[in-house]
Amino acid sequence: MIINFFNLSFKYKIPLWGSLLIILTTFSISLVLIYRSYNILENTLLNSAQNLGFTIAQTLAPTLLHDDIWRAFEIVKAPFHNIPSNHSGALESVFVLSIEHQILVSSQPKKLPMLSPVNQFFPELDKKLNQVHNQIITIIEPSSSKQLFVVIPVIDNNKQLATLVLNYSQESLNKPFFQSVISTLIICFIVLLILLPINWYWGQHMALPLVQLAKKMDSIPSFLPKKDEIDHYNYDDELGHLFDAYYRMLDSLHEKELLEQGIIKSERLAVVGRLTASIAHEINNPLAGMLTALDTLKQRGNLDDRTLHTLGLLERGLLQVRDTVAALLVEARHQKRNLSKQDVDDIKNLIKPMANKANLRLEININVPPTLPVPAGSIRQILMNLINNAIQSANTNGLISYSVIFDNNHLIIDVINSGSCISAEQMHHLFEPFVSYHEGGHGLGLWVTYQLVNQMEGKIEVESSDNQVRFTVTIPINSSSNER
Amino acid sequence: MFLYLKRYVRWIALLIFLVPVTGLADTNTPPIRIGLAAVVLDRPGVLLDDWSDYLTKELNQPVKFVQRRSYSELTDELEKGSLQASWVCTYPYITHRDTFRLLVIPVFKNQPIYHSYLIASANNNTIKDISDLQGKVFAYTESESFSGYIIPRYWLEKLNFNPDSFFRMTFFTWSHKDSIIAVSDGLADAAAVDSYVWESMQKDFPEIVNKTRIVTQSKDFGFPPIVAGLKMTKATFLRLQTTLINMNRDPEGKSLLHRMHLDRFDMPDYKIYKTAIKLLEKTPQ
Repeated sequence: MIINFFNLSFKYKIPLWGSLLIILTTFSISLVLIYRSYNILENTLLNSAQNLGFTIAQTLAPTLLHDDIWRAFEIVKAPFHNIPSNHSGALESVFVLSIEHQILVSSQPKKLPMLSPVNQFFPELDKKLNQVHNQIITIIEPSSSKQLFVVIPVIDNNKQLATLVLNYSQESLNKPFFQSVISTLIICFIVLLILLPINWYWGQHMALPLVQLAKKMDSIPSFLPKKDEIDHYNYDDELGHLFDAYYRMLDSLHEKELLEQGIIKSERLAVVGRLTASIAHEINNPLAGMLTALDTLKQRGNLDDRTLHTLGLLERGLLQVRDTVAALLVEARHQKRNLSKQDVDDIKNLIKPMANKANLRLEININVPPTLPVPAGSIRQILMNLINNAIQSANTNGLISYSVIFDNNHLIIDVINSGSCISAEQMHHLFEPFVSYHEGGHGLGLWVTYQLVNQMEGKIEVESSDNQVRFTVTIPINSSSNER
Repeated sequence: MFLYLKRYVRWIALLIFLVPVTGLADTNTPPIRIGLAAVVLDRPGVLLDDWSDYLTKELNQPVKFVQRRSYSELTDELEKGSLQASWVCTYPYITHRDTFRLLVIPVFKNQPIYHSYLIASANNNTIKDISDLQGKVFAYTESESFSGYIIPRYWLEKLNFNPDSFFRMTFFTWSHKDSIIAVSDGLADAAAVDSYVWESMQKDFPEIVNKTRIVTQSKDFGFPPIVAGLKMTKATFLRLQTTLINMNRDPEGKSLLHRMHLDRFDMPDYKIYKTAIKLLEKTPQ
């Protein structure tokens, strides 16, 4: 049970602890108040009893000296004057005892008649009276009875005439005490009624960020949450530090994931590249043989029309195979000519009519030195492929923008088109061969581009956001080769 | 300064009250001092002030009522002359009838007579006669009260009991009203009281009187009279007598009589005290 409690979420544990603390505090304060109110009540009663008893005793002395019973009766009755018989005060009766412990006069003569012995009514008082003879004022609280007696000797000239007794009932003494207990408990209940919901709200509010954080961290091995999935905690306390650490961890995890994905993708593309290159080489050799054989056969002559027709069919097919294989075989290193600014301008001139035909706006920014030590053919092909792609992807009346810039030993080609974005699934296979997202495309353009960039040790990045797709190619320029 | 102001204010108050009310009241004339015992009119409050205002106005001479605890104080002062008149009990009148002159006799329930009531607690039905009170606690009003002391002792003597040892305990209350309260509260088992006081209190304080009941009552005795001392001048005597007798003829006087539960004051008739005198002769005091 206790372990179950400690296993509870902070969402419940913090308010529960708070509630427990509030309840304990409220009840201990109530207990102190109740204890104090009992003391005050007791002291007030005893003080007022002593004052009253002393006053009555002083006034009684002359009447007892003169045997004036009526005046004595009026005096002992005085505290009850104007109080209805079912009064709630603790004073029950006042009576005067002779030296022989007979009732001389009492405030309730019907209950405590004159001249009757006191042990008839209060035997415990009678027993204790003998022990307290000489004292000024005594409080007798018999354990067996529910009465409390304040005993005052009536003295005239050092001679004790009689004994005055004020009789209080414990029960009616307890009544105001219980009333104060009840009112204290009511106040305690109201305080709890106000504090507990506040505490509950506060506790849950305190626990909420911690609970969210724990939930997100729980899911981490199987699922990597995004940074903005939980409300940011704005304070610089320990929890704030924990949140900072969590964000740092998320950042590095995301980075690691991206890195892993990039590595897997580029490895896959490299494998595909090597495979296609070796297949292309394997095909190219017999293909060249077959084409030569076909050519030789045609040159011999004496072939009927039907055979000639079949041979033409075979030759065209084999040429198509050679074109395709040639397209797969991307070879940048064999190209000798360096890139000149004219190459870039040529592309511009080639593009313009195509863009016009497709009703596209064209923005061009070219900033390159007259020559750059990179293979001109590769760069031309990269530019043509990317811009072609952009023209096909752009919406009608859309925008094509590209820039070729040499900056800080890097040639940067940036091609942007306004068009629908590339989905995550498409992005995954974007640079693979024979993957096309346009009607009529053979799916080799981006594959070739990727291979060319890779061979020049550059990198190609794609960003796809709403209505804009951007390809950025960065190619390092070896300055030593530039000098060469 | 404050004392001067206080005295000044008192004078103004006197002027405001006395001049219009008393008209030509001669403030230099010494007031007629009339004594009253607490025995009959216990704590009458403003009643006495209103009565003295009334008499002052009617007599054109200041009248002042003086309250005393016992009849003996009243008779002493009346004989000395510090009081000119007094409302006394039948017994002091009879014992001092040579020195007191009957001024008026109050008429209660259309008769100038009253009784002594022997009363006990309304809850106690065992007491049927004074002889049932042996060993009980008894409340006397005072030793010169005819109805509250003389009569019960007379009854006991008639039954051959010794009044001094018959009761277990006796005490004086100094007023009929307090005797009734003593019985009603249970302090005393029984008491003897003036029938006029008991019946008046039954109207004014039924919650007290209804806790008591009349056990027996005496025969008729002359009502306690208002008497004048020998030092009162004849003229004052007549004026005071006429004013008192005429009280029931004007609304203000009538209302005062009504508050005292009396019908009127009558001319004195010595004959009504004969029964009391006869009884006193039988009981040597």
